[in-house]
Amino acid sequence: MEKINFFDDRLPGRRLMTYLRFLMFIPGHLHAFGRKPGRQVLMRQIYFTTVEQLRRITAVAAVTGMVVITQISQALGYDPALIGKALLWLAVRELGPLITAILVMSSSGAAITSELASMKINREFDALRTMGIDPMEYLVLPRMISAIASVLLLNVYFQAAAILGGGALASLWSGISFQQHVLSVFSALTVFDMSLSMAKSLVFGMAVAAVACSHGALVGQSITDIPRAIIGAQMRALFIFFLSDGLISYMAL
Amino acid sequence: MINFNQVTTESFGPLSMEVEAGALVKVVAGTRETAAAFVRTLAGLASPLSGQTLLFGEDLYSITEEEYIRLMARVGVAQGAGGMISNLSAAENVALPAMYHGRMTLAQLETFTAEAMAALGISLEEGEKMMQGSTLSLKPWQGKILRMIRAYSTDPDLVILEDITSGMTQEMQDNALQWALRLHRERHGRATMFVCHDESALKSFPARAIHLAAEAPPEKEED
Repeated sequence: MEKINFFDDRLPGRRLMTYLRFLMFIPGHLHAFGRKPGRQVLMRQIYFTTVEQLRRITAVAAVTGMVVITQISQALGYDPALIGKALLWLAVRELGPLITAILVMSSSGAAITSELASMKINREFDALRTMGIDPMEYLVLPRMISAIASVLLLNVYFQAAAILGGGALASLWSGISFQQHVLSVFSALTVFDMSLSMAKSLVFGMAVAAVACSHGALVGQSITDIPRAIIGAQMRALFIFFLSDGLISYMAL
Repeated sequence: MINFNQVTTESFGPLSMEVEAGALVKVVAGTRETAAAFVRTLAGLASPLSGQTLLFGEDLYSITEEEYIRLMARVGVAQGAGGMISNLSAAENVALPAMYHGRMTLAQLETFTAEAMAALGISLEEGEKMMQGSTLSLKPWQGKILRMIRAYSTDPDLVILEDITSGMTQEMQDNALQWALRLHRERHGRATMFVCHDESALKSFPARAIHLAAEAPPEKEED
């Protein structure tokens, strides 16, 4: 694996190339999951990055849905069609992919960066290499795949939780029927909206995967490089999320 | 199988040596640090300052990462310290290379490990306790035993055992050396290399000795 040197940190273009190189590693090495230990790591990672996030995502999504519904109702009066569209735009097209990616990056992404970084510093990458096991295939690849899958799956879950949970909470708060909320959203939902949301999630998922893994796997030699790698990864991922969100939304206009 | 051509590192050299298939060799390093440096150089982890390091005819420091990984699948390395994967249990650590390379089924691996434990004089109960725990709870000698079992689990062409006997009781040292000698003899063409910092533990061991020179004088060989 190539070591990123001091100067690379000062050249965003180089960083971007590193992220792309990590992503380009995926298609040519999927055969690694033909081996049982590779599959085991993948399943474990999917559990950590997806299943363990469900409770947090449920709470955030339901509150987001409720806030959107109550705020729109208070500002513009109760109009089921308008509320449906507003929830769709915010929860499905914008906030769903973005909040999911931020939550995954701040929890699983940070865990991936710190785990890989400490393993690298403790020479566990070297130990794997001496066993004839490619650390990129055994450690990094499953984490990248699980990060991408996690953001995609949790985005769908977030949208459902925002629409259903938000509707349920708002109906208790405002007295508007739950059924009306849900119907108004689903009547406004189009394939384009879903595709746009999934496209954003895919890009964000790839960003989580490449940024979290590359900052961990290419960490320096010292233990103090670990927090630096985590912070660097979080900041860069946030920047990529907002930049690509803006670009995709602009392109979809 | 192994060819060192005027290899110089910060810890030893220049060293020229050749280890053929089927050879049984003990490398006496003088210090733990030199022993570790030698193993890291031989395992392709620390590039020497000068010289050429050939393993199975390939220059370890000029081949691609894919070629290196493929080459190392033929080697079993038991480091003197470290070398364990922290997010795996002791048992998973032992099983990893054999399972990854498809060299043994889980049942075969269990039998092999049980036989190894018996040969090393470790009771079944103690062995199970050792295997079920985290790698962090292992005593240094237990770590050495597990790395040794793991090194042999892939049926490698070359086995490198670093400082394998230190920290063990005399009885366990004898058992470990006898077990390694038995496995060496059972597998035709396998080269086994013991790397130690103190020759006393391997004094009566029937192997060719190579002494690493700390500075400029060339390596001293004795058959």
